[in-house]
Amino acid sequence: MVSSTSAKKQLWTTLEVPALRKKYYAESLGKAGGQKVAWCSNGVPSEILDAMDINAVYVENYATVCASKRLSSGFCRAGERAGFSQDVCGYARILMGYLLGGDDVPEAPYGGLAKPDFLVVNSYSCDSRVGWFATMSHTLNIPLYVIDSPYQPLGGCTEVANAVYTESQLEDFVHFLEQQTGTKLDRGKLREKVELARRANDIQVDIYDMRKAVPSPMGAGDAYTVVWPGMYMAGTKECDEFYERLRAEISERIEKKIGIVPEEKFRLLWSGLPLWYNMALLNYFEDFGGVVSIENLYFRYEKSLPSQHEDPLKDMAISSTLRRPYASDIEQRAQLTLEVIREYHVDGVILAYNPSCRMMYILQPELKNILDRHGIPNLSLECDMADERTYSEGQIKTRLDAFIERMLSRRGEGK
Amino acid sequence: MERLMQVRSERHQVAREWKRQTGKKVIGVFCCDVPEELIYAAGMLPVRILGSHEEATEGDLHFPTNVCPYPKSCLDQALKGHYDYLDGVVVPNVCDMIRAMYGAWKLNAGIPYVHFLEVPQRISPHGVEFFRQALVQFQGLLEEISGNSISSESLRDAIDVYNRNRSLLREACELRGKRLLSGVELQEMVISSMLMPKEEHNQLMSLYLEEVRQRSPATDGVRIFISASMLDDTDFLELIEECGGSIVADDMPMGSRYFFHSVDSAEEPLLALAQRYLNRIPCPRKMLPQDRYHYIQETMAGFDVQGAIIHNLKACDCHLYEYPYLKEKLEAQGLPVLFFRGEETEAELETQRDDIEAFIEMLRG
Amino acid sequence: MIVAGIDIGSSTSKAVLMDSDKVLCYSIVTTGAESVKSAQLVLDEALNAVNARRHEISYIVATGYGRVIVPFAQDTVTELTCHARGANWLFPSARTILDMGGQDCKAIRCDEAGRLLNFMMNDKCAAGTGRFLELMARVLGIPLDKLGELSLEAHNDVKINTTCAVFAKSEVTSLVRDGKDKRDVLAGLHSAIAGRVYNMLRGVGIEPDLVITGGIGKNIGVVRKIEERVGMKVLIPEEPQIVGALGAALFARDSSTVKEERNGELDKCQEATLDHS
Repeated sequence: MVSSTSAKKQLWTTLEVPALRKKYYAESLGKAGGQKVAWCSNGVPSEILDAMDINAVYVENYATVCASKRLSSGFCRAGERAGFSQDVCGYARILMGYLLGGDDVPEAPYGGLAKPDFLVVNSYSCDSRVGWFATMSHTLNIPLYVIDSPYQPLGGCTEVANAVYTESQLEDFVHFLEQQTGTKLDRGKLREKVELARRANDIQVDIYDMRKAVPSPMGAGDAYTVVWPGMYMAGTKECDEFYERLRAEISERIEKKIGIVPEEKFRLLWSGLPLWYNMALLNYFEDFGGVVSIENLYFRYEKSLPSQHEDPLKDMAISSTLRRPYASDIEQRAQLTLEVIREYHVDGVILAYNPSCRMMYILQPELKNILDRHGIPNLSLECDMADERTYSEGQIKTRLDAFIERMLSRRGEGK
Repeated sequence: MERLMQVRSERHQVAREWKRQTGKKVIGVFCCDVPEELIYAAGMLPVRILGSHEEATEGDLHFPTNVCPYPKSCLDQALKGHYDYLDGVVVPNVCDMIRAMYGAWKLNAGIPYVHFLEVPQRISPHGVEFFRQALVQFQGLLEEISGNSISSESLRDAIDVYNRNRSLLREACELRGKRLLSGVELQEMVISSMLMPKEEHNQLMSLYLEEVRQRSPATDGVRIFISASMLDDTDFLELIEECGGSIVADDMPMGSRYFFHSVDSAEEPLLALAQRYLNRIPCPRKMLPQDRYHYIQETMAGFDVQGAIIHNLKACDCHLYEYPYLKEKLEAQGLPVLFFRGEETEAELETQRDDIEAFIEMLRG
Repeated sequence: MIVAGIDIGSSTSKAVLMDSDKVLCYSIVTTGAESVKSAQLVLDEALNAVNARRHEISYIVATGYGRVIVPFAQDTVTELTCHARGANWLFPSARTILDMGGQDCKAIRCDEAGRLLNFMMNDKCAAGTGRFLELMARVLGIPLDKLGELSLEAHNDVKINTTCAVFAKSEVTSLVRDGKDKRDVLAGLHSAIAGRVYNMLRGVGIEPDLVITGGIGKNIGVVRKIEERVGMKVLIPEEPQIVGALGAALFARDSSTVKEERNGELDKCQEATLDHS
């Protein structure tokens, strides 16, 4: 089956992440009993929860942790026993498996998660999430709050209406949190958090920009790891400092022309989710001179807008109208993908088809059609991001090898 | 009834003919979330986009295998040229797969206007206002396509015509509950209502209901409640009724979800539309299962339901997540539940027959 | 000079031996649980046919699903690149190749020299693969190698809408139970497969000539349906299963620097030689 699992990390700064993550989970689990625990989906602003001293646990991240520790099969099976179809999001099945347990369920990484008092989900990325959180709310018999996000920017509503609605959602959310905790949100404290998160975002935008360099200073093997603090520790000094160190290291590598491989023969874009249980696939091309030099899932396109309002919620609402790489329609996704291909000197694209991540999955064939029309070599890899039972070494390697042969043959080095 | 059935089976010819005779435009809509009144008020004909049992050879080039087959089939029909008469298509933000139709139609279907209608996923006063804003955008576009401005009066007229249709369908629904009308017949009425001018449908319905009221109730069928993610023809319902079931209540997009609630004609029209479309029987995407269940109970109330059949198309996440909850609640109410995960192919119907027959036998006891 | 191409597929292993300009012989064995043994077995069988010994082979290239476990191969190349090369060598006019193997189905585009230009493979769905047909053969109770001919006797193709193995199984079961003629059901299944692979072919762009390789190439029923669907005549190698191994042998020949003349021993296996035209 799967031989090696974790990606080879090339940057010193990346190596800090596992320790940060471990510490983060340990702290979350060890927090005092009086503090409320919120299980959250991605896209729930941690700045607000932090400012209200709520222990925010991001369960999708935990699902990827379980997958990367090669525990997804056991958890998924338990989730399916609870009535979840295999069609349903792998993250959801893992978490439901973790919640419902059973004799064959593996031991939970990091000693498990703090028990939640309530749940919060953001509707912006997919239907699955809301359905999954609703199920957990029913199973655990605790309240669920849904932050509804407009499916902007498709011209369905004006930007103003989008921002107004988003603001109303954040206001209602704060109100919900105030009810749950019995304390008022200190908006001054939130402002500090938002400013810190802003800085971390802007450094990350810089880093993305620097990754256009040839040879590639940081590949996807590192990149999927270094997004972690920005997603789960935004609004802390630690997070900002981490990205400053990362930016410095990348800048040094660019100056000294240190790449991922000795001679960069082809550069790839990984589109979609990685296979969390086999991140080593991201390094697979390196023996042949290929580098996955960029990935577009967590891409940060735009620097933060300057703060304009006294109320930080207003600014947060406006910031949410910035470009996002996912949850966008196919035209936008294609346009952003083509832009990345051009600016990052990409020679070929790996299109990950993660069937249980419907939102990523459903748009990939059209993206493939568009890449084909532009003459950009691409490879479709069908494999779930979390459920490793969908992985077949032979089938995957055949596709990767053939794609490498094709990439090399374009350089006149092939068979 | 023949006329209604004909409208469904010859829907493309019906729309083309209407267009030729009136010289007006036809707008395709997805799902129950598009206020058709606005299209009507702009002097255009709204038609519901339906799929087919046909192999989606063209749709397969644009969507992967494991997705909800209904939208894929709709796109397939468009790519095969069956929807070439449409002047515009409205795609509401109702689920991942439907919203993917926006890009897919825009890029591939060759239809002049494809509009994305924003719909909040959560029902709240802010959501109503947000949806009203989206309707302002939508109205502007419809005025552009039709060349007509939509006045408050014309919109009020449209609301009256549509409310009349809803009350006729609700009456039919009552008659179905009393088993004067079959589940298949009601489904024919609902689907044809989505495909033809509403005044004409109102006239036909009035005549038809007149007849139905004279009937004597069927007594032999087992009373079934059906919940479905999307059944865009009558085949599955026919199968249930052939097997001895008698559908008396439903939770379906091509059923109660379409007509159960009316628009408040006293309210400012756009606001009234926003309120009504968000407060109709929602699909599971818009509401948490515990909240949605009230609507389901309301549709069943008084019809002495004996068993429930749930039909979800494969990979329909919203319904798949809700299913365990729905099953638990229905069973707690003493209703046995039969579940199908559909593929939207003709051949699968035959494989479902045995299960339905056995289920009905079991209910008969 | 003798070179060898070995193709370890998921259901069968194939070996082709070549000298500098022609195929000497080939062998096909079932891939067992231990792929390494299958590789040895299939090569030894081929060697026996020409009375040659392992050390006489100057270069070996392995391909197929199990290419990495062939211990005695000097190089590995994927079956996509090999099928392109092999099919193009057999039919120099070949530009599009459809390889229908046991586990995977692949649409391949190549240039005039047989170089891989583009390819598309089936997703998780098993439609168009040997394992799908094997399953259907079992459900219908018909030997696998009889499917093609039998389906040609169909009078009324049954419409089968799904090529999902799971659903097709229940669909086929109920069709047979309802008294549908198995030949008509088979023809329907073959049509459904043709529909699936047609879309894969469209994904890479169909340019004539089209060659079908792999085990399913022997199923005349599927081939006819694909021809109908694509609207062109399909070229089928005499032995479609060995095209991958043939491509591998051609790569081995490229790499081989040893040039030995062994013509004397080769006449014995002329009957096994493939027609190069």
